[in-house]
Amino acid sequence: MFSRLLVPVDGTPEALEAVDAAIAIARICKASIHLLHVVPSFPAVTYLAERVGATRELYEQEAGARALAWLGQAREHVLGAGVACEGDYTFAARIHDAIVDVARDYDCDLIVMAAPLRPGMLSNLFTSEAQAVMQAAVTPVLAWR
Amino acid sequence: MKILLPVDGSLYSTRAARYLAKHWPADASVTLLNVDAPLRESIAGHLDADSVARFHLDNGTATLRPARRLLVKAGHLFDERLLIGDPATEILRLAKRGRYDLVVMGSHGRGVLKSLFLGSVVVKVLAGSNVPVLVVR
Repeated sequence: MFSRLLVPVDGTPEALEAVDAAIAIARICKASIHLLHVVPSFPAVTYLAERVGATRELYEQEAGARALAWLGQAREHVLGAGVACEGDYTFAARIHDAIVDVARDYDCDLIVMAAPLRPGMLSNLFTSEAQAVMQAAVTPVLAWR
Repeated sequence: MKILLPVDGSLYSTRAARYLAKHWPADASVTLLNVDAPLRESIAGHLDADSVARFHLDNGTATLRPARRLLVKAGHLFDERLLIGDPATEILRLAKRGRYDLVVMGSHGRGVLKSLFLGSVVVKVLAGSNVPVLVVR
């Protein structure tokens, strides 16, 4: 049985479906859910920033606010289903690395994340974030679709 | 919940079975699956159909053994399927036709170099599955 599930969310409807799946598992196992939103760190978007004239402070402030909004939406969903929940966002250059680190730091025993099926050949050309996490994590990964 | 567990008899697939037996809630009904590679025509051509069938049956039964023991011990209801063909194709087909809720697979690689890769069958299943996939390594 699981005790703590890590659910990375990115604000998409697919991610919320993965949250639903995690809720179903958490209810059976009486587990808690740890929500995580990873924001690409400022240096990763520097080139874009030069064009829009943003500063690091402004970027982090606004990205943080949006992350909190997404997390709040997901957290309400989880708490509404009667499952214990915590959540946080973090800045990282490589999203899958941040997910793996958090899974380790918080002793999560399962990572549940959305891995939407891309149509046709696209699925062979672009590996999903979930696949990157699988390659890097010791924790089992449930690719939800 | 209907779970499909394809195994190839390796350490990795046994690890996935152990994980499932240990962690998954008791209401899981697990189907063990082994997909055996077909015999080459140059070999199969010299054998009668019965011998070929027995060969695959023996192969498949031996491959399922370690995972079967773990699942029986855990009390998961289960069923067994032995198929012949390309592993990824047969796994995807059965997952879809059998209306499974989840596919659980073991993946190769814990070492420094090996951890850069997932098994090729896992990658193909991930790329084509309509069903959620749980990868255990």
